[in-house]
Amino acid sequence: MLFNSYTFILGYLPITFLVFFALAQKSHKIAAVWLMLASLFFYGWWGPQYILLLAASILVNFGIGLGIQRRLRADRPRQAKGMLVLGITVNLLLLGYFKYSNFFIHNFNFVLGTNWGIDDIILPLGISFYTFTQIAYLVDTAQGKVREYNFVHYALFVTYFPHLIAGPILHHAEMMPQFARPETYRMRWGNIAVGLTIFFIGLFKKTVLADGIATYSSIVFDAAAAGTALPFLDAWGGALAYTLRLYFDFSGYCDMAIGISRLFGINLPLNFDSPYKAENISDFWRRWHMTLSRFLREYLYIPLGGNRKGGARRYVNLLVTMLLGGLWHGANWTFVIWGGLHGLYLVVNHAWQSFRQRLGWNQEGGRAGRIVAQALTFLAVVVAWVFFRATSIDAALIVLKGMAGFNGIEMPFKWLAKWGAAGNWLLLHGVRFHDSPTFASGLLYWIVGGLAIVWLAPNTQQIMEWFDPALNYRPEPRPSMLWLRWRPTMRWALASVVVAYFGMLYMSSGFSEFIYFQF
Amino acid sequence: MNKANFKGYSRVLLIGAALLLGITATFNRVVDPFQYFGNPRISGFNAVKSKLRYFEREVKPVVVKREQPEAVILGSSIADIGFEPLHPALTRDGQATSYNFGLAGAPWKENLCTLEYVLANTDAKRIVFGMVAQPTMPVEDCTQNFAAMNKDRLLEVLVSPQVIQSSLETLRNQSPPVPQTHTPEGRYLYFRNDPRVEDRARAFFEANLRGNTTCSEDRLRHSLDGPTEPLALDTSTPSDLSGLARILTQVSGRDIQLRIVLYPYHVVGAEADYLCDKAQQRWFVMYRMARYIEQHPPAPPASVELWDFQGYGSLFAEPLGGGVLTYWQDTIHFNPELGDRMLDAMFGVDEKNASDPLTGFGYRVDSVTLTTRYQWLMDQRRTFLHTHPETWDMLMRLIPPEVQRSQTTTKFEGL
Repeated sequence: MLFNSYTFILGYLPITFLVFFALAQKSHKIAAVWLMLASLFFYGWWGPQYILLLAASILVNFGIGLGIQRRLRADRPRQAKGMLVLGITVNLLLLGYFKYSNFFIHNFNFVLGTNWGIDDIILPLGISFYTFTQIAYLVDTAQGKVREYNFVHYALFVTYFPHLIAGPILHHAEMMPQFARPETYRMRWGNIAVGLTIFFIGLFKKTVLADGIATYSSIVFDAAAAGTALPFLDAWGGALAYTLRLYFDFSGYCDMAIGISRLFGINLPLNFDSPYKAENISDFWRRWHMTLSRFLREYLYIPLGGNRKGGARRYVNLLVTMLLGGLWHGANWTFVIWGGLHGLYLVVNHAWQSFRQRLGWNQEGGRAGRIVAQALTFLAVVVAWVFFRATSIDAALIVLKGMAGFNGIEMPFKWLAKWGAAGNWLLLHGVRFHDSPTFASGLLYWIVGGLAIVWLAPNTQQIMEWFDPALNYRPEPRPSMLWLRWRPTMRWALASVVVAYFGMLYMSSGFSEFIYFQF
Repeated sequence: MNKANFKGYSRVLLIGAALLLGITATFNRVVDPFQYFGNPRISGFNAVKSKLRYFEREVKPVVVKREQPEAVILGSSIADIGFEPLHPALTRDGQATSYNFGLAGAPWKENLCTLEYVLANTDAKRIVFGMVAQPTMPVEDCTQNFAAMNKDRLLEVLVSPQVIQSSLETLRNQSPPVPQTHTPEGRYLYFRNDPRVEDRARAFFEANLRGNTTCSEDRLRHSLDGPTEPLALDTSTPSDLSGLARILTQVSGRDIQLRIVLYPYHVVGAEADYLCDKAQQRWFVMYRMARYIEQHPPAPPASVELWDFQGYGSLFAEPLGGGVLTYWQDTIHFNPELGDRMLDAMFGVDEKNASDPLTGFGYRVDSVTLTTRYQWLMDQRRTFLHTHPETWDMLMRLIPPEVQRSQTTTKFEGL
């Protein structure tokens, strides 16, 4: 079931919400069980057979967690560590089987010339997310950081439907206490008003903006997949369209998840914080898929040694972390290259920072410097997204060649007449005027409008910042555009009605899944 | 509203959004731009449906299921345009409902799946199934087609940006009225009297003949000057007719008259087959299909007949250049004026004036008489083209230069 469907908005969500608070008046525990069962139903809507897999994963991990805790209490740390290794292995094997079997066998066959094969394995929805969530739980249990061992709260923390399919990747320490506190089980109009507003902003981003620009990027990447050489404008149009589509899609999804959860009185962690405003690549990863970055940092980069073992080792750790982060997104070399590129960007960024420090260049760059840094970071991210989106390395290279101008520049024919002498000058200097099937001039409006939103407008959390929009959100020190700060006023109510109306209206123009569902 | 009035805010938001969606749904429900709900057509308000052609595949399955017509026409744009569902043979002189479920651009798979959809969802008693003569008729997996046809599109036709735009354009297009795209019974109106018919035919020939090395004017001339090529009905080559078998099984025992029609073409369209040495294929397909139907007849009361209407009379040779055509839209799409005659023949209307079953307009194909019909039609063709130089000239004007024997030879004397 998709958040952006009438079944969810008019059926599942209101029923789950009303029954939850009705039950909560009698028993918090029953209400929590209801929410867990409703979450399993939500999950089963996509593929009922995988409910068992999810349930088994929860039972096994909770059991191993209890085992680790008991051994720690009995002062048997080695046994606890053994159980932790067992737990992590089971989780990784499960993920590996469903997500990477075909990939590894395909590559094994390619390298050794063998012809092994297995039937195509369908990836259970959300498995990457709930596996990581539970690995973190086991690691923290082994480190003695887990305080609560309530099965219902644990199962609810894993299955909780707002995050189950595509994140955020929750941390037990920030969620289980929320399920335990009595206030969660009291319906509050404040939560409803804030939750609905965030949800509808997210819905608008998804159905109007992300789905609106999607066709422009698909045409270009489909053409590249078919081996068609792309001219300069077409390739850049496709890459920027995808860059914006992914932004609005994921940002919209995160807003919707946070908004839905807020209806139930549960604050989810911030997962998306205007990443294209980042001034360097480290800053980008502090803003994009923040809960994944946190997981990779705390459970992979730091255990690998982080920055504690010297500069060279730090760079290796960064590269390894990002390569695995890329592979987490999908079993394809394009994702590995995407992760590797980001690893490389991070290495370059850290090396540059060290170099500056050594030379004593500690001054901030000023406004112009910040704009250049932001543009450079954005450019690097766009190039990497080409690998993220392309279905093969060859297709990605076709798009990148086009972006580098290898196939010349083509512009829509009507521009030649429109631009008069300038058009003729361009014609004389090698620009071709020809209506290309992979470029539509309407895309320019989308790109300009989209970039204006992502670079200049406040994000959802900033709009909602007076009402505690998400966990870990830090208000801007010097907020601008104060008139765009939400309050429960008639003006805002009417504006929200318009946003909600268009969000739901565009929902009917063909339901589309969120991009992050595939991971 | 009080600054901290979360309850009031939430109510305004929920009620306001619901109200706007409700108003939108009501507006689109009343205008009904695609005839999805079957609202009455009110002159000056919504009588002209100018947007249906973009949503034919979404709307027609719903209408067929709801209206439960007694007669259904199926096929590609050729059937969609050419067969009038209000023909008396289909409506029992206006006593029954009938619907044209033709889908522009539908290939074999979609045609077959649409027929299966009709058989599964209606109690239709007369079905016209138009198709091109193709060497194989495989059975198809219709799962996706059924899912698309059975998909609940209520929300899409009530609250979506496309339907709002279509409703607004429908209102705007009433005065002055733009051409209707479909009749209420589903027949596609396409163009009529398009002055560019010959240009479009030339483009069609270009697209289909250029680069095809088997196509040559010499081949065409030889087929007219030389002896009639004997009909080769070699049945040893396997041909997949599993789709036809499934059709026969599905109609078996049901009160259904199924008429399978192999589309006829305008003379210049038909002659393209002789240019490219494909003319015999049509006869071979007819033979295989007829033989299969004879060997596996459906259980009564069902009746399945295969019909061919290709001919060489004036009905099939209207000049394309004038812009005013009665029987043809272009070289492949016939008009209902011809389609009506075909329906007359297939459903036995006006039996008193019925032509000879072997040598008249329309031929109910059977494997025994096929060779006789072939010989007769070849004679007809030869005679017609020899006695109608204007048709020959029209044909020559359409053939791409490299396919012609000589770029200057466009005279009938060349025969």
